[in-house]
Amino acid sequence: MAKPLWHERRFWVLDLELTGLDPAEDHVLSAGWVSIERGEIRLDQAGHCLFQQSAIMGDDVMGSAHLHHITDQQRESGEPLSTWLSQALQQHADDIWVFHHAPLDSGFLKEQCRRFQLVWPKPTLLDTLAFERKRLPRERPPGYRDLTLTACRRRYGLPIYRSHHALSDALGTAELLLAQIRSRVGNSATLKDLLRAYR
Amino acid sequence: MSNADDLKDVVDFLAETLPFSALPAEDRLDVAQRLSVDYIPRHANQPLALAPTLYIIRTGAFELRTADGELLDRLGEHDLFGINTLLNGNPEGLTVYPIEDALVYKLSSEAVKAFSAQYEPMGDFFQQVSSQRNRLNRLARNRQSKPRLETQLTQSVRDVITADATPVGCVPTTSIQQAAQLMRDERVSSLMLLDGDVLGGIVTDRDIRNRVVAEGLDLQLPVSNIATTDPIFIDAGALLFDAQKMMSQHRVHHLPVMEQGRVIGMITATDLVRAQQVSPLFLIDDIQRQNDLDSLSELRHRIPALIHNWVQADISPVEMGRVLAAIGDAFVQRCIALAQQELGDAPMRFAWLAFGSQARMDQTFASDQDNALILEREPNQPEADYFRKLANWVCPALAKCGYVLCPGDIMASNPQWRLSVADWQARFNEWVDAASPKTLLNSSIFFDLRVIDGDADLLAPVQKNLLARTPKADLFLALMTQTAVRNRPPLGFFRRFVVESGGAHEDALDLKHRGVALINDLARIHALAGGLSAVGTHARLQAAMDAGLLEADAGHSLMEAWHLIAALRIEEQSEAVRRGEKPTSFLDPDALSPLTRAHLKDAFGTIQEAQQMALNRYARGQYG
Repeated sequence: MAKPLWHERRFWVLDLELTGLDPAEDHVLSAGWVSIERGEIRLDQAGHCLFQQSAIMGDDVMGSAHLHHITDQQRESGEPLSTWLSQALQQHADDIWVFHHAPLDSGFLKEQCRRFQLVWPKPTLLDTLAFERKRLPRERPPGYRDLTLTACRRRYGLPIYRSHHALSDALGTAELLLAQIRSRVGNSATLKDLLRAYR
Repeated sequence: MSNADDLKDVVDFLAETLPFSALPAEDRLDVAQRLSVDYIPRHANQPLALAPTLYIIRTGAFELRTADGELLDRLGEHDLFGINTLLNGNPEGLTVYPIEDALVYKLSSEAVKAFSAQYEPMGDFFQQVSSQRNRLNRLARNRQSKPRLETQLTQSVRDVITADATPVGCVPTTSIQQAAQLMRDERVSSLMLLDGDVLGGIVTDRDIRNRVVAEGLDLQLPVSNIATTDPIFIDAGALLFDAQKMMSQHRVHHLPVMEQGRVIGMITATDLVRAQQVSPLFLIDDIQRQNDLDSLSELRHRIPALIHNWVQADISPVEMGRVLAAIGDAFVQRCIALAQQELGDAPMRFAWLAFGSQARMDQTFASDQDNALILEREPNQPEADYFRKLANWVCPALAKCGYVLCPGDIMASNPQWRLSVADWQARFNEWVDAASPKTLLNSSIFFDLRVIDGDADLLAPVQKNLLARTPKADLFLALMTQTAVRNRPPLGFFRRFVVESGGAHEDALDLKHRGVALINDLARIHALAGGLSAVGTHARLQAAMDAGLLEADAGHSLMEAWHLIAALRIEEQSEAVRRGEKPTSFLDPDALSPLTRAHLKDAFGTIQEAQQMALNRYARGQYG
């Protein structure tokens, strides 16, 4: 039997806007996502969600919420994170999850699962940032090893999108993933090849 | 799940892209939500397998070609393709090649059909693009069936247009719709508004797209509403060269042609492209046929147009270099023949040598002449006089033909470089055995050499002796490597760019001395170290890879880097010449697209790594 090709699997590309880097202390402000099916990004499956924030949020959160284009009113009218998370886990448990810097976002998702007593589905994770880090020769001066999403995208000639919007970043990450696969891994790669390339 | 703000990056792009820009905002969001996004890496030699889908180019570039591979159009950001496949299955077999890495949006054929049914102008727009491309295709086919004459930009406008039918025109009061129908029926991309013989304006496909469809204008309005009423025109007696200059100056693709105040036709950008498709073989043939220096030197004016066409047609710089070398060789051979008509036959066997770029066959615009003579034996006084006269005839003649005199006086007219076989051998031995940093700096050019005319056998023993000696000459190779890596690729330029400090660094990139020349140097060192007889940089890198001196990865990366930088350089030079400026190898960094910048940065990175590898191999890692 032929080995499954990479594009036979569905990918869920996700980005979270956070108030900080510590999953125990900091909050998830919003999430944006797109799916990749048959090797193409599907905008009909793109989504964006702002989360309700508890009243105990401090000034620091207000400050970064502002940075992420989120107003007070939006924060209050947002969806409960637990509702969104349990739905998302159900819908995407079998997908391969993609992040630009997977440890950070997946760390927050795991922590939220623990708080809401949801089962972490142990999805396969791909990290577009780790892929670039591995690819770029280590001896390059720091300026060349800029691994921000914008810098990585520029290396593949991808357009500039607004920053700090979860859906723009998710779409940007998905495009970066396709660019990496098509120009560095190979479009006819098997799933196994792909996972090896991102390990 | 997403609203217009969430998909802002996509919706904003559609708002600037025809025909979606004409849609109401909520429908644009609807389009955006139905798109899928795909990344297509550059693959200039392989056409895309087109799905029945509309492709919208978000970034990158594509070429539209006929089934036979002839270039029809170049498409970039905001352009569409896939329409013919989608509307009618692409019976003409048009092909699309990704010539740059590209991000595309795709809209399914169902969605295209649904939107076209809902918005008539959108459907019309797709039809129009499709028929315009079919028309280009037909033109290309007709062009192939006709014999290709040696038409140059020196042909007159009249010669090109009289072959076509009478100009297609209508009165200014005709409705827009009728005008469009006339254009469709006559299969033309532009229409003249005529009051009798008086030109009242012109209307083009583009006007109908931009001024009618995009604006949702009433189709029953008179066509004069959307016409360009005081169009630039050209006299029938003008040269195609003038027509081309006028078009690029005024950024138009159509010029009405006038004769004694009367319109006699229209000349289009396509006509010009067609007229310029000329083989360099004609030029070489003409060079061989000239019988005096004045008419020979006139032929140099035909080279810029050739190069421009090659740049436009994306001919590889390796290929261009080879053809330019053939042209340069022909000039040398013809000059020598003309000189000998005056001076008589040579008193002994000799060979005319070229060094540097002509030897490597990577000449561009305004290459210097670097040449010398190799004589069968030590000449006596009358024999020496003959070759002095020969060189003093040929070198200035070549200068007249556009090959600048060598500022370092490495020319056959310098007695120092008219040597016998034995003397050349001794000279090379000296350079290799008694190498010093100072001598090497000036002598590296001599290691790229080729016979252009005369007796090629004379060089063979010199070359054989040299290549037997250099692989063992450790000190020579070490010094040569240290000298070569003294010039580093300008990576600092990019570091500054990355930081974008806003400082007014006006540094231009020197694509020659800090680009291609660095790769030429590395290729030369590998060739000499391996005793390889190849002279061209590509051939040397290939031979070095075959001989195991250079890893395949590194070798191919260097070839790509050379290719990229050389192509950029000649493109810049070609543009400069067309602007009437002197071609240089400097590049304005601001003019680079982000994509080119990224590629260029990679290329310079490759050179730096290759320099380090060469140092490790030949100079034991020491710095120069």
